[in-house]
Amino acid sequence: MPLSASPRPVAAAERKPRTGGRGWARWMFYSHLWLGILTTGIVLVICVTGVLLNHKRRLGLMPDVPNEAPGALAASLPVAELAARAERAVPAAVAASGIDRMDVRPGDGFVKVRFDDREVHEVTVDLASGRVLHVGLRNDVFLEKLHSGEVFGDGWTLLSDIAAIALSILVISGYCLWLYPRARA
Amino acid sequence: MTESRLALVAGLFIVPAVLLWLGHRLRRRTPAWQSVFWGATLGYVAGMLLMLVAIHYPPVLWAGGGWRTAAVHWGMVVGAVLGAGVGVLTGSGIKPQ
Repeated sequence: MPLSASPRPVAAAERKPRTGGRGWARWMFYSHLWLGILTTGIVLVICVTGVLLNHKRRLGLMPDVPNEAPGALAASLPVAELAARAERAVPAAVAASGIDRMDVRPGDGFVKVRFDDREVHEVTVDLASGRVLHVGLRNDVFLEKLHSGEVFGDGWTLLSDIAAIALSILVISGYCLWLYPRARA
Repeated sequence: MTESRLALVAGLFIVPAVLLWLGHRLRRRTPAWQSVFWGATLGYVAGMLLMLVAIHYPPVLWAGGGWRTAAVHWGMVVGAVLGAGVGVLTGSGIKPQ
C-alpha cells in the first residue's frame, strides 16, 4: 500500500524539468532554429561544391590525360622550355597572366602548367618530347575557392568557418532536441 | 567592402534574420502581415536558388560585372524585397476575419 496517495499518476510528459534544464533546452532549440536559418545559403553552397569536387574527374571539371611514359623524368626538357611550350599553346592573354604553378608527374611523364588567369587554364606537356598533350580549364580550382569562401577575397574564408561551427552546433542541438523533446515545455 | 559584397552578406544573414522576425507568432498576425511574410520568404528562396545556379555555373570565376555577378550578390536581397512587394500588393485587399 502506498504511503502517500496522489489524485492521479503524473505522466512522464507532464513532469516539469528543473528551470536550468529548461533554459538549456530553450537555448538548444533557438540556436538550432536561428543557426539553421542563418547559415542556409552558405551551407548549401558548401554542400554543392563539396559534391562536385568529390566527382570532379567524372564530371570533367579537371583534365584527365592518360600518358604512359616511364623514365621520362630522366630525359626531361628544361623547366623553362616546358613553360615556354605551354605558353605558346594558350591565347596570348592567358599567357600574359603568368604561370601559377607547374605540377610534375614523373610516373605519367608529363607536367601540368597552370596559368593564373580568371578561367584557370592548364596545359599538359610531355616531359621528354615537349609535346602539348592537352589544353583545358581547371574548373575544380574555382570550386575549391568557392568551397572555402576564398573566391570573394582573403578574409572571406571566415564564411566557411562560420558554417562549420554552425553545423557542429546544429548537430549537437539536434541530438538534444531529439533525445529530450519535451524539456523545453 | 563594396556594395555588392554588402548585398551578399545581407542576403546571407540579415534577410533570413528579418524573415525569422516577421515569422514570429505568425498565426496571430494580420492577413496582410502573413502575406508579406510568405511573399518575402518565397522571393528569398527563389533568389537563393538563382544565386546557387549563378554561383556554380559555369564553374569559372566571374568578372567584375554582368548578370552572373549581379545574381550572385543581389539575388537573395532583391528576391526577398520583390516577394515582399508582391505580398504587400496581394495582401492589401485581404481583410482580417
